[in-house]
Amino acid sequence: MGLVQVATSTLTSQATTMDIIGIDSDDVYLLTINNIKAENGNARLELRVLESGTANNTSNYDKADKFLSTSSFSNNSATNQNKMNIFANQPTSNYTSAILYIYNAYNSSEFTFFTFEQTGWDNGNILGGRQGGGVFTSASQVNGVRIIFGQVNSDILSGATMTMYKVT
Amino acid sequence: MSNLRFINETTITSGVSTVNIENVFSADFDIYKITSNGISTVGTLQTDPDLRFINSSGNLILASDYDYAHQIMRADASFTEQRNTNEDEFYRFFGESVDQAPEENGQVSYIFNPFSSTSYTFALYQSMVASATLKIAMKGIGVLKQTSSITGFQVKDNTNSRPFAGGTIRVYGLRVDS
Repeated sequence: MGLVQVATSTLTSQATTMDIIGIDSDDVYLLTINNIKAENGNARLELRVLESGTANNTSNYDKADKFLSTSSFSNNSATNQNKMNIFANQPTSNYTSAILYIYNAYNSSEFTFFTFEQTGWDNGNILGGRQGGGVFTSASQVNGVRIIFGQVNSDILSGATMTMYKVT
Repeated sequence: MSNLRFINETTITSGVSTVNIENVFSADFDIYKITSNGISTVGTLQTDPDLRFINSSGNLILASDYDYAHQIMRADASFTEQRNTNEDEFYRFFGESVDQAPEENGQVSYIFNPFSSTSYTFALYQSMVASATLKIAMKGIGVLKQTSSITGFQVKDNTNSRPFAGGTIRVYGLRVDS
């Protein structure tokens, strides 16, 4: 497997959202998310797709995941959400990271699919992460991803990075 | 050139219970991919191949600072959960119960920020092992609760008495070009 970087983004000051754009073909893409830190505790990172650079906030996000932590495990699912929760709730004190694969994003006649694996510091200062998949159930051309904290309002602190690779 | 940069390949020598893979993490990358395959034992008694990190001074990190959680998915039995805090290794990082060939392992993992001296080191890992009648898949997460700079890792036979017969470990870095 080869990876060709198509975009990278690093927050130089804290912000409500963070975008990465660079999907321009029907290839599979790998998105790394690293050094995510929340301004406010109990925030959980969520995802929206970008269409021509504009975030889609319609209720077209479904997902299912297994939450793992050193305290408990759980099965989680959600349909018809206006964004996709792919991260554990996190405290302010430490970082979290993830690997996502993105499928069919650029094909305007197909849904956009995700598989994700996340590891980090869960709220309560324990190890926690989500492993699962999700789908944006609208047949549209997606060219990027936005991340935003949900559950509680929080900025993403500076230093967060996202890098998009085309899988070759 | 691919942004998935090959860093190291290590072949396990038959008869050893530990293998140190050093000087593979550096300031050049924040995220690393580790694959392993063919880890097997000399005899027919099984062992769990675990991971310990090695710091920039070349010392094994033996402190009880490893937390992990993984789902064990068995083809022959029900699924189980395993989680622990304050351990001295990532237990079963490369799989559960590798055995004599051809009953070996396949595994892939990602390590985040090992070289950083300001962040904990986080891990994602998944594996598949065939071991006699057992067929065991695992998916897990881990953290080393230290901000020490990590430059390598050790693969170890959990029992320290059932040595490895072979296996291959490869390390890659995910290059970010600014």
